[in-house]
Amino acid sequence: MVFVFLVALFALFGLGMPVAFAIGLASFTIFLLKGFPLVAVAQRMIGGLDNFPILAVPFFLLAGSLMNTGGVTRRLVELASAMVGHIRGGLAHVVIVANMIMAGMSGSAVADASGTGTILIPAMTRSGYPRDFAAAVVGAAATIGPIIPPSIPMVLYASISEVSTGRLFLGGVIPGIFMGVYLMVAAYLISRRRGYGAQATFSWPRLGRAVRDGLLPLFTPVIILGGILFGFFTPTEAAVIAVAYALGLGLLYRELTLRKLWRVLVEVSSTTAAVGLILAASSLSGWVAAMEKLPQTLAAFFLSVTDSPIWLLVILNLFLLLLGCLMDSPPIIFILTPILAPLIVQYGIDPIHFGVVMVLNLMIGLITPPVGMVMYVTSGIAGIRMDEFVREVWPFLIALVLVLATITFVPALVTFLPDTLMTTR
Amino acid sequence: MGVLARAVRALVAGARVLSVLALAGLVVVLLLAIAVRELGAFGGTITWAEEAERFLFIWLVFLAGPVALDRGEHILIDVLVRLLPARLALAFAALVRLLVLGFLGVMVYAGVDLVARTGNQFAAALGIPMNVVHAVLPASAALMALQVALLLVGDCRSLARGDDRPVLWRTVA
Repeated sequence: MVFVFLVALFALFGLGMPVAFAIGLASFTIFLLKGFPLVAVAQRMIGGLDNFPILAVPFFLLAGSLMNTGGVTRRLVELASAMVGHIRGGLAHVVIVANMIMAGMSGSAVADASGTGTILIPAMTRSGYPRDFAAAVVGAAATIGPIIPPSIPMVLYASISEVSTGRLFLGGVIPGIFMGVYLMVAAYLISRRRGYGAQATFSWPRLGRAVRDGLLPLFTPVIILGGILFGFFTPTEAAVIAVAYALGLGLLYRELTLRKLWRVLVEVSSTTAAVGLILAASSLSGWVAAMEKLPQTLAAFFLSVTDSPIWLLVILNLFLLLLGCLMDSPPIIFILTPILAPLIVQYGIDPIHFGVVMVLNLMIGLITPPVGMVMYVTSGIAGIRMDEFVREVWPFLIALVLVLATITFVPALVTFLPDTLMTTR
Repeated sequence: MGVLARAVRALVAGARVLSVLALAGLVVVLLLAIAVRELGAFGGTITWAEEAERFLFIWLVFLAGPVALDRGEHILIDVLVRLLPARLALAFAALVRLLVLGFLGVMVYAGVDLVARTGNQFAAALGIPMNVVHAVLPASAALMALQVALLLVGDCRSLARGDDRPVLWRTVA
């Protein structure tokens, strides 16, 4: 039965059926074969959405989108530029640092890629960097967005595996900083070999001005993380406060018009529906998996192969990287989390550690062919083909895979902050 | 443009407005709940806030489902299909859309059944009948079914005429 389900699922994916309907239809075939009442389809789909933590998703999407349209992103780019523009390969470092700052406010890699990309890819090409290099740097840097909190994929993982979103968020802080540093090293090495110059000389007055202009937006991560950390808000509440704050900044900067606001609202509701319908359909497939005891079967299989948590993580990493190349991240999280969460607990792996490892795998998948949403976005902005993007992105991919290996083998890099700062589980 | 296409376009426009209202409602209700708690008004809680948030989210997802279809935002994997010659890809697309229509039909049927069964259940805090919440599912599925049917008609026309156009999953070009 599981076999029928998986074959049907992948056949429908391969035929190009929208993922939400493919998951729904494949699960429905099992419902039919088992003779379940049809009304359960509707009941389960609505039940899958009846989940309070998931509300953070539209809020973080909205906050990110409002920052892009409201002039916040532009100010942060200027700040990053004043900070690191003077290093060799200047604008590449500006891209990475700008994305790290954005990462503390937005939870979506696609929003970060389009926000920083529309400003920085043209700026880089004007300064003489090749278009494909610019697209690759922005793409790679945007994957930091959902690792440094807040993070939409982490909200998805947490709401399904029922770990604390706040702890998971904190677990991403150190790995996210590692990503930034590794990417900057890669950018520096490439720039030195190709002779890319620095942007401008460092100047304190310019940095001072940039900090002053960027000061208000910089409070966003303080509000979000501080609020969660000190227990003022839940992550969902922090997300809605970020929305209100981004809206306020957009009005203050006089860059947000009613027309733009409407466009943002339509765009975010439509993205929410795309993710939400997959979540609704996944509660059907989750039910099928549970009925068929798929987690238990999988656990028995893995235990027969290895009993070492390290090897399990290595196998899962390779599997997730491969899957991340082929699929977008929300369906992978929705389908796999209920199956993998019990498995890793059986191996004694901290679910927070695995959550961050899994999300990082899937973020790397955003810039790998053939399916990579961030790759599509930045290649689209730069006007280049997929193969041109791939030729430039591989050094950054290596850097990100090195970060992945580091946090896989040193769980403390993930678990240290949540274990120290949040005592409640 | 046919009558059906125009009707679908109007319905999608309606769904777009309602979904934006649901999203704005989500923001407003949660901000209100936080403000009330922090200020300690109304005894510090709005009892219906959490329920309203959950229902608004369900509405948002299903109301915006047709909008996402209209904008071509539903996530799908088209790498394999892109490798096919245009005509074959269109033929496959027609098949896929038929299957999607089938599943949407199931959603409509199951949704109507659910609505019929839950009219006498009431939400704990808001007191509204649960089928008001549930009704959005069959409505959304029915509208998406109409949209997919229009896409299917377009595929069949292209196949009959023999024009090689790429497969689209959005209703407005």
